[in-house]
Order: sequence, then C-alpha cells, then structure tokens
Amino acid sequence: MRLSPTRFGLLLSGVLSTFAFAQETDVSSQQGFDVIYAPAMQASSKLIIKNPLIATAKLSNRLVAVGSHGNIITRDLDSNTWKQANVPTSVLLTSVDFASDSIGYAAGHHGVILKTTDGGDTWQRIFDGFDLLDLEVAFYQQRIAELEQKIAAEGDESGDLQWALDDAKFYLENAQRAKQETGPSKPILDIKTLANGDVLAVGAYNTLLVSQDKGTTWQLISGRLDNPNGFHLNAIATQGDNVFIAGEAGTAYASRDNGESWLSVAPPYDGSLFGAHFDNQGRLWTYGLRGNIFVSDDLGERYTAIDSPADANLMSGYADTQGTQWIVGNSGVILAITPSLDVTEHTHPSSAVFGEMVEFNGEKVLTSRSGIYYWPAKTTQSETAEKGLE
Amino acid sequence: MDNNIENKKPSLLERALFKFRLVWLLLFAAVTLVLGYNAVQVRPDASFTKMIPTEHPFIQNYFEYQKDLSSLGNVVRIAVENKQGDIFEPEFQETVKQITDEVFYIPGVNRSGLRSLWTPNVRWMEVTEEGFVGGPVVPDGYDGGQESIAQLRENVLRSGEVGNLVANNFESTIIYVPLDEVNPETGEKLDYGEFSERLETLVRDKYQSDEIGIHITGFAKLIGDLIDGAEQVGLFFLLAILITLAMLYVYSRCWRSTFTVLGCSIIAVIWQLGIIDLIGSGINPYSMLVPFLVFAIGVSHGVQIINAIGYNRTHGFDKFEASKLAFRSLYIAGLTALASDAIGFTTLMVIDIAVIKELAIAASIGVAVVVLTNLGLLPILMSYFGVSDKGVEYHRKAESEKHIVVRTFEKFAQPKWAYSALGVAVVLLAWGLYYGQQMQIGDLDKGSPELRPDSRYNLDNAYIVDNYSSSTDIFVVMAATEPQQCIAYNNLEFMDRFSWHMQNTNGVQDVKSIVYVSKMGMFAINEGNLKWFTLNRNQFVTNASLSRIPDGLINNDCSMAPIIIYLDDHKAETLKNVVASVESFKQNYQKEGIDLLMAAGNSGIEAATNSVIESAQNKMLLWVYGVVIFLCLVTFRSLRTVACIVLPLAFTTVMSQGLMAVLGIGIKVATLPVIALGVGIGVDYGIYIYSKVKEGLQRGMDLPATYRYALENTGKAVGFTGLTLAIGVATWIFSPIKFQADMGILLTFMFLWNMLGALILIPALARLFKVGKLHQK
Repeated sequence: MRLSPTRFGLLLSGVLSTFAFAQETDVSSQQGFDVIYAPAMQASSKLIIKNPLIATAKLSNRLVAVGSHGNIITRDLDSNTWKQANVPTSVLLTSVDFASDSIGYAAGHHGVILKTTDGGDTWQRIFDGFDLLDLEVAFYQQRIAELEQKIAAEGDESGDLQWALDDAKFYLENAQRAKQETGPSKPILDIKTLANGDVLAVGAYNTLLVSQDKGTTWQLISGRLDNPNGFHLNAIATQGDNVFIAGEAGTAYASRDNGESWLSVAPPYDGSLFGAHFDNQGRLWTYGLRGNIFVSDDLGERYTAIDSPADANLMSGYADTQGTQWIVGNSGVILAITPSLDVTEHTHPSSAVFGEMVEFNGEKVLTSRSGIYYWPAKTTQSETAEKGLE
Repeated sequence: MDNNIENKKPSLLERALFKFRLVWLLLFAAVTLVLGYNAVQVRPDASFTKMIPTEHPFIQNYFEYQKDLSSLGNVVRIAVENKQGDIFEPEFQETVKQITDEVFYIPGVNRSGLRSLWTPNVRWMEVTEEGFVGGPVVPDGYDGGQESIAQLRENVLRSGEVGNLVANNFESTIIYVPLDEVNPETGEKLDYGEFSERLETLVRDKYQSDEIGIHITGFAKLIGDLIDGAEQVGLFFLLAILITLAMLYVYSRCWRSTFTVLGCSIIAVIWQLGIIDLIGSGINPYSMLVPFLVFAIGVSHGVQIINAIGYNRTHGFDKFEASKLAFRSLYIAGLTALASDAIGFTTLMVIDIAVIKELAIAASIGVAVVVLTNLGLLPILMSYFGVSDKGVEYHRKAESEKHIVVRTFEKFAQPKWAYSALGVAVVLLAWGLYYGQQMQIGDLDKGSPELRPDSRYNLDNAYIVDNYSSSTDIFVVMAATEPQQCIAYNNLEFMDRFSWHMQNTNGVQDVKSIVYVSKMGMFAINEGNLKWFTLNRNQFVTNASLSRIPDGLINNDCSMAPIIIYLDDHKAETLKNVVASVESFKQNYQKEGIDLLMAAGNSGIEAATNSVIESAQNKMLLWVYGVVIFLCLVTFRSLRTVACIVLPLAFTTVMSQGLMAVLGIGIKVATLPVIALGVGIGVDYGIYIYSKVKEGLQRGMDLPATYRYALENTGKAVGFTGLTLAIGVATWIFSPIKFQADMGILLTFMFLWNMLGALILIPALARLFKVGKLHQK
C-alpha cells in the first residue's frame, strides 16, 4: 500500500517521536478555552489581511474571505477596507460558499461548520467535530450491524467481510475514544451549496457530509464513495447537477445527480489533487501536486493532461469571461491558460502560498498563507516595498 | 577666612601630620606603589548580568531558563553584500564561501550550528508524489557556471530562506554564526573582545571592498565594540588632565602648585582603581565615570588648599607655616563637603542594579581617598615645594582687584536683580516642568541603545533590519509546562491563542514560536496543502509535525517553549504596552498546566530594568534630597536657610529633566545615578556660599555687602570648582558609547547649572525669604 505523507508522518511519529504522550488530556477536564468554541478575537483588519486567508466567496456586491483563527473578513464593492465579521469559533477556516447574497456557509478544522444569514456579517456555529464524531459512531455501529448480519446470512469465505468488520470496529473505537478523550481532529476541507439546495461538505479521511435542510441536520454519507484507503477529500466543484470531488493521492469522484450516486473518476495520476473548477464550456479542470493539471470534457471519464511549466502545488482556479483559466498555487505561481491551451506561468513577487484568486471590483484578489495580495502585484504589496514604507 | 586662625591651637591631626612629614610621605609612596600595581590590573568588564535588576521577577524567570534560551540569543550575523549586483554571481559566491570557511575556524563558533548558503545544513525541500525530496542549496557539482547559478537561484527560492539567510532584495546573504559561551573542548569562557577583534581582522578587514560590503551584528560584536569604546575613555582621561592642567595654571600662575594638585588628584585615582581591583569589583562602562569624578573632586579641593596657602604666603608666612595653617583652616570644611558627596553617592545603593551599586561603592571609595590625598598628602607636599614667588605675586595682585566672579554675581543681592533673577528662574522652572513631563523611561533610539545611532554597529544593524524580515527588539515570553508537555496539543493551542493576541497588540511586529513550526510541519506533511496550515488535535500528528525543531524553540525536557515577540522598537511605552497585554491575556485565559512567564530577550530585560528604574527614580530623589536637607538642617538649623540652598538644586533637577526630554535622553541605568551625583556634589556650592553669607549677616552687614563678602571669600573657588568638575566629565560627551555621552552631557549641565544656580539664586532667595533679619541679633 502506498503511504500518503500524512499517514507516513503518523507512522513516523510512532517510531521517532522524542516525546511520548501516552495519555492525552481528557477533553472534559479542559477548562476555559477550546479553539472550537472560543469566538474569533477582534483584530485589526490590517493585521488579518497579512495573516493566513484561504478561501473566498463572491456575492453580488461583496467579497468574503476566510482564514486562520476564525478570521472572516468582508469587503463591499467600491470599498477599500475590509471588515471583520462576528465569528463564534477560532479554528482555521478552509472554505466558504454562499447559497444567496444573504445565506452562506463556511467550514474548517475540528469539523466546524458555520452559517450566516446576513451576507457574512455574523455567523452561527451549526456543526462541529463532536457532532461529526456522533455521526461517525452511529455510522460505524450501523455498518458493524450490517456486516455482522451479512456474515451470518452469507458466510465469509474470502474473509473480506471479516476484514471490513474489523476495520469498522477499529474506526468505531477511534471515534468513541476521540469523543471521550482527545476531541475531534478531522478538518472539513471544502463546502458547497448544490443546485438542488443541498449543502455538501468534504474533509479529511473520506469525510463526506450533506445537509438537506440548509444546515440544520447533517448526514454522514462517506459510504457512497469507493475510498477504501480513506484518502482525504480536498475540494468540490459543481456545475448544474454535476458535482466533482478532488482527493488525495489521485482520487476523484463525480456525481451527475447532486451527490446521490458517485463514480470513481481518478485521472491517470498518483499525486494528490487539491482543486477543481468547471469552465464556461462545461469542461472540468482539476489540478494539484507539482503543477499537474488535467482537463476533462465528460466529467472525468477521460482526461487530457496539460503540459504545465509549473512545479509548485496548484490549489484553485477559475475561468474568466474571455475563457482564460487562471490557476494559482504555492511559491507565488499564477498560471494563465488560453482557450487554445497555451500556458503562461507568472510568479508573484511575494512568492506567497496562494489559496484562491478571485476577480472583484475590477481587480484580481489573492488569498494566501501571508494574507491578501493582488495580481498584477501592487507595488506596496511586494515585501521589499512594504519594508521600505515602514 | 578667620584672620586669627594662626592663634588657634593646632589639632591632634595637624600635629600628627606635620611632625612626621617624611614618614607620611614614605607611607603614601609605598601605598601608591602597591595600589598602583593593582590599578594596572583593572580591566574593563562588561558583564551583562550586572547591568540588569537581578531581583526583578522577569529576570528571575529569565535566569531559570537562561541555559535553554542561550542558543536563541548568542548569535552573530554577518551580512555579505554585493554592492554591484545580486548574490547570484560566481565571484560573489566564492567570497561567501571563503568567509564561511574563515568563520568556521574562529574559536568560539558553534560549528555544527553555523549556517550560510555554503553550509550543508541549509537545504531546500519539496513534496513530490514519492514523498519529500531536497538537497543542499548550493547544488552538487556547482562550478560557478551559468547553469549552476540558475540552479542555485531556484534552490534559494524554494529553500524558504528569503528574508532569513538571503535578503529580500537578493543583494546580500547572511552567515549565521551561533557561539558557544563556554568552549566545549577547553572549558574556557568566550572572550568577547578577542572574538570581536578576530571578526574584524579575518572578515571585515580582509573582505570589505568597493564590491563587497560586510555588516556584522550580534551580542558578541556589541560587547566587543563596547570594550573597544571603553578603551577610548583612557584618551578622554588624558584630555581631561591636560585641560585641567591649563586651568590650574591660569588660576594659580604657579607650576609647582599646579603639578602638585594634579599629582595628588592622579594619585587619588590610582588608589581608587587599586582598591577597586583589590575588592575584586572591576570597572564597568558605567563606573568608568568615577575616576573622572574623583580626579575632578580632588582638583577642586586641592585648589582650595593652594588658594589658602597662597593667601597665607601673601600674609607673610613661610611655606611650612602657610601649609600648616591652610590645613588648619580647611580640614573641617573639606571633610564636611566630602562627607556630603559620599553620602550623596551612597543613596544610589537603593537601586537594585549591580552596576549602579558598583558605581556608588567606587565613588564612595574615591571620595574617601580624596580626603587622604588632597587634604593629607597635598599640604605636606606643598610644605616642601611651596607656592612659587610668581604665584604669590599673582595672588597678591588678584586680591587687590575685584575678581570677575565677584563683579558678575554681587548684583544678585540687590532687589532689582534678585527679583528679575527669580522671575527668570520661575519661567525656566515652568519650561523644565512642562518638558520634564515628556521625559521618558528607558532608551529611545533605534538599534542598540548602548552605542550611538550612527555608530558602525547600529548602521550594520539597520542594514540587516531593513533588508531581512526580522526586528532586533525581542521580547520573549516563556511558556512553562510540565516536563514533556510543551508540545502537547492543548498547550500549543493555548500558545497559538496567546501569539495571536500578542500580534494584535500595538507595537508588535511578529510572533514566532514552536506553534509556527508545528503549523509549517502540518503544511509539509500534508503535501504542502495550505488548508492544513494549523495545529492538529491528534497528538501523534502534532508530534510528526515537529520532527525537525530548530534550536532553542523548546528546552531539553520539553518543559518550556519560548514565544518570541518581535517589536517595532524598545521605547518604554511600547514595552509597557506589551507587558500589560501579556498580563491581560493571562487574566482572561489562565489555564492549568501552562504558565506564561515574562520575560527574556533584550526587550524583556529592558522592560524589567525600566520598571525598576521607574520605581527607583522617585525613591532615589527622596533619599538624596532627604539626606541633603538633613545635612543642611544640622549645619544651619534654619528651614529658610535650607530652602535657600535646596531650591536652586531642585531647580537644576527640574531643568535637567526638561533637558533630557528635549535631547531625547531617557531615564535609564546610565542617567539615573547622574541625578544623585549632581545633587550630592551640587550642594557643596550652596554650603560654601551660605556659610559665608551667614557669617557676614552675623557681623551685621546688609545683604549686598554680605554677599560681596561671601563671593570674595568663596566665589572664585566655587566658580573654579564648577568649571573643573564640568570639564572633567564633559570629555565624555565624545564617547562612542551612547550612555557615556548621555552621562557626560547631563553631568556637565548639572555641574555648571548648580554652580550658576548657587551663585545667582542663593542671594536672590535670601532676599525673598528676608534671611537678613534672621541672623541680625
């Protein structure tokens, strides 16, 4: 079995770790502060825009960006200033999506999902990792029951069912221990509103959640994906009823019915896919580790590999009105791909690790590990120029 | 001067001194030889711990973890700059390589920690489908060719060293040199002076050119520069001696008296230094001021003696009798004045900082020594040499004329001048009080406050701060946990919250800690996916994220992780704000198992020093004024008199505070003692002048006549004393060490202003308070 770096790291930690933490702190004994429940600290927007911001959502007259320490900031059209929203969590937020100009969802680490009904000014925490653990416990209990029934009814000549049963028991135990002792650790990595109004969230270790009542209740539907290794689900792209999930280690899933049924549509590549988007012609673009880009006309049945000059990770992209694909990623890389598939690689002078690029108010705005940037780079944005101003 | 003094009975002291003159001379010679031998052994000593308030809780916390923090602090950075291009040129890279090799062999360098583009520990790393790949930044098979250089450029960009080892503008690169405080092979302590010297000759002198710029910063370099600067102080001493020599001659017109006074004062300095060495105290950049003071005080009292001898000679006594009578008339006044100086210095002991205590001890010893050399040795020597005939002639002539001091200042006893002077003083006082409010605690300039802003060290420092992403004003909070728990998830999350809180504090530029390393580790083990750039609750994952921890971010048993806060500057206000912000976080988020301890780092230590200074400032003023008022009360037994003497001193203190605000000199370890020194020595003038005023009033003279009498008797000596003291310390203004220059400016101002204040304001206040009636019986 191939080891993803995460799992490799896990294995490594068992062997190499200098510091043994045999017993972990009991969640219930923690007083005061937990990152899930601590409201985001009021900070100056000047500081927030220099700290990690990952994802953006565009409303008709407003841009919303989410990032570290529960930071959510908004900027209205024709305004130069960012405003910090009221957020009841301090986790790193990885994603944000709006169903309308007023209703939106954001999600992040420790299984946190937030909802706003006022266009992003104030947010409510509607789901967190403890809820996810409850869903997982129920999920595995049901699976164990099913498997045991199946073994009793059909027998298990190959032993595969027993394997699956042992796995399910192991995961159940993990979820129970996490609930009682360590607390939730799985991040949600992307969230999207689907064409039918359902809200879909994906996360680490094959976490797939859906809500059919605008976030009030959530179902764990990980079982719909064929992901035996439990690879991370990194990003969601949608167009009409079509939904695509890009995952770790070259895994990818597609649904033509708003997430009811799924097919595995892995591209011919073993590396992780970090992002995906549909263009105006309905083509699916997905990309990831080391500058690899694939495009598909048929929702992932067949892919064409793009000859990309980039070798940094690519995180996200979009198609502009002229039909150019813009894809951004680590090391300040910004790719422009013309409709005739000519690729130009730009490097932003900041060399920042980019999350997303979005066109807003006639500018290309970038989120990154070191905050907000623009393309073309504003002179004051380059680090040296900024130093000079001080 | 009492005209009948020759009829008084000689004291026991006087008889003992003048009967066995030769024995005393031999004794003085022997002691001078012994102490002289010790004095030569005195070395400038810039011990760091002596400059900080060791009892302060911040410093106690720092001491507890000092060993764990050492790798953070004791580092020298050498920035090698290509003045005519960027770092991606083969010749330039060759130079960087040579300097790296050169530095590698300098004793004291921690070789395994040495980092530059040319050391194998500086690597780039990347995540690929197969896992991590990476290599040294200088590619294998580097040959200086175009391809190698292109590869080097790419490796630098993906190494994450831009802003760190490589300047943001790519025009320079840093060689990062950690030092071993104690040589691991020989067990010897690092000699900062020698190390700094080697850096100069082996790196700067050898490689600096029109193409290559060298910029060196770091604690070791700073200490080296301080020791260097301190050595220049010897030159100032020589200068002070020469100026004093000229002044003495102008004053006495007699080479014999001039050299005798100078010689005795130098002997006093030798004794003082010898005793300092004997008690094992050494001399630090602050107590270096003491020899200057001792010398100046010695000269000013010596002048009184030769003045009296000259007077006696003009009245027909031979040189032996003249000296004896001079001693008789002056030893009580001299002893009193010196005692008040010594007590003034002793009040400095209330400040809990070792260098200030050492300064107080050294100054007290010096004053005691002056009693012996200039009240004892000087009259004996003068009884052999005598004042030259030319000197006696000059003295006679001077006595018959009105001296300039008398002419200038006698007016101030008249109502018109007195009230004008008081009016001007009130205006000045208002100015002083207004600006005094703006006086700040601590250091105000950028860069290293010990040196001048335009010193080479501070220019180098500014270069590195401008071109790299780091501030040099560092405040460290130590997050203390149970052993093995410093990287427990809950503790890391707590530290992260704290870091974010501190980042949101005014004056904070950036915050770095193990938290950042864990986030970077999470980012890396998740294939460089930005969405994982955060802490993880799973302890095993967290441990994995911390498989490579840079030196100094946790201690050996993982019971402490420093949180390093980079500040905009080290102004007292900024530091206070940071301390308050830490306190408020602790109040809101107190959590079991982790404690946030202040403070280490240069700014943390400065914050502690500032708080000690702030509380000591008023305490010291209370003490010194209390002592002075007490002494005056005992001597004169009148509150109005005390007011006449003390108000001019207080006026000077207020004015000097205004001056400090205007000149941008903060109250700090160096300037706090100056206030006590100024008051302690300044009160002498008042005592001299007022004792004569009292005498005149008691004889029934009116105020103008009384004051003229006082000026004729002491005015000249007071004027001369003020000038000699001022010149003795004024040479310090040219010191390359900033705080010595600040001390020089303030002391010069205080000595001159105290003198003028005494000469002008005492008669004016005497008129205001109608002291004339007080003494007329």
